[in-house]
Amino acid sequence: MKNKDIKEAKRLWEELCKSVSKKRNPFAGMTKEEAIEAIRKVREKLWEEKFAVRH
Amino acid sequence: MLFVIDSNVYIFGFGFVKVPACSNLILTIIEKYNLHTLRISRRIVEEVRSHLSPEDFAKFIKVINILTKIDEDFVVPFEIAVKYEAKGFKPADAFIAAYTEWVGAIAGSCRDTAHRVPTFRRFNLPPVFRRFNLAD
Repeated sequence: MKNKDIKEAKRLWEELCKSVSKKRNPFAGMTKEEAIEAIRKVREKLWEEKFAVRH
Repeated sequence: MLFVIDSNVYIFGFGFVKVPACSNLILTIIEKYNLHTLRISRRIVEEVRSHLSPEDFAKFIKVINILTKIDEDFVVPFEIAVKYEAKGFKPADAFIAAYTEWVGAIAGSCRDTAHRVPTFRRFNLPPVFRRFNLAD
């Protein structure tokens, strides 16, 4: 990997974080544990959707 | 060091929830790319996608494409996931644990996985990783 690629990755990552900070936060008011639980529910929902499509 | 980072760490790393260790971990992997390797499965990518706008997801994919390539879910042997389900993991968690074992990651960011996937080993990890409880 080239140095310029790494610089680009870092730039994009920082841009992404900045962009996210300006949007509606789906975890607003949640503790870290509550956010993890919410993410886990999305994981299970996506998994079930994938499973349902295949069977 | 070979890393598999779970979706919640990426999501926290974006700043949705202020957990500086998550952002630091990803930035460390980017900056120390000659020391670390990142692997990611399609499943984790899809989970991250569900929390981002299409525009932000495109940026995320660009970052991932610079750092690594996305592994398709079907490459992970079914038997490994079943082993983790038998240990009490939910199917989606079992898949991530199986993926982590399959790629042979020696460090990870999902606390359950880090403790329960046998290929993981304990190292003298730098502070950013210790803060993430990977050294426990």
